[in-house]
Amino acid sequence: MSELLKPPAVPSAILIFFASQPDFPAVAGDISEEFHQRVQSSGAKSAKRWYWREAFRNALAPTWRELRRTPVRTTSIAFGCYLVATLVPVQLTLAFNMRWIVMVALNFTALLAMGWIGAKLLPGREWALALTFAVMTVCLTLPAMWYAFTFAFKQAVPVRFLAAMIGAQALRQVFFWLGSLWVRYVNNRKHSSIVSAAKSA
Amino acid sequence: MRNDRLLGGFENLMLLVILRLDDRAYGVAIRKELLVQAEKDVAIGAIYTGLDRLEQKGFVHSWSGEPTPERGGRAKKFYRVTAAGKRALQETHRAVRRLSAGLEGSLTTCLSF
Repeated sequence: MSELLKPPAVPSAILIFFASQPDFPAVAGDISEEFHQRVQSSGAKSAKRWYWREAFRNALAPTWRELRRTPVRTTSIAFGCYLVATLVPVQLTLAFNMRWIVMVALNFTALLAMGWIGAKLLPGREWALALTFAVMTVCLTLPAMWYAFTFAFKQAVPVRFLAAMIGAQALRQVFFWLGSLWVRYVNNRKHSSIVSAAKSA
Repeated sequence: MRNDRLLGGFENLMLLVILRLDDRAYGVAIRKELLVQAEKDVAIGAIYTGLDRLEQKGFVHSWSGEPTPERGGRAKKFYRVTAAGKRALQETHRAVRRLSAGLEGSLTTCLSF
């Protein structure tokens, strides 16, 4: 009966999304096997709870390892990506006096491209790059906003403006993450096809 | 002089577990043995990271088993300790014995608390 019961879909998806190690199929297989053993020994509810816990445990550990592998290189590349993706669209807009819609499109394209380039420079650490970029954006944007409103405009930040800024920054993250995690997705697929080809040979 | 053959604590435990399990050493079995014998709850991912390191050092050898339905069609990955791994274990245990020689009294006192 337990063989008919599939492990919960959401933690399985989390596990796949964060997977970075080459042994991922063995890790996922082991967790699934132990899940079925636990369904028989302690019931479906307890087994599902265990599966959720293990999915997070096994997803976060490789991410933390990724972050610790080359912190200086990852931070430098994330900073380089941030500078290029922020300054190039502004410079181009000023130089060619572009319309705002073109500037927005240029901004997001630059972020997508920088996410892709950064991930290519950090193979196997794409997730670490995306997280570092997010932390860096928060650290650089929030103090700049606070400074601008406190000292330059000498007024409290309007709530609507703040919401728009946060939304824009979130969208910026989405585009950068799409670029870098796309490289990870392609690499994972390439790796799994190499493994299956080696197995069938 | 540094002895590169001496194993770290986790590597030592992993090699002992694989030796104990003989040809049945794969992720789930290794995890359970660590939990039962060493009372250490280790994530499967951390076990594979350790195994990968041991394989790179040439202390273990791996091969794939058959895929099973309860594993979602994924194959088991079995491990066996190589001759180099057994030598490293012997050297580590020899070093531990040498370092603990003459400390039986202190160790007994420590263990009695």
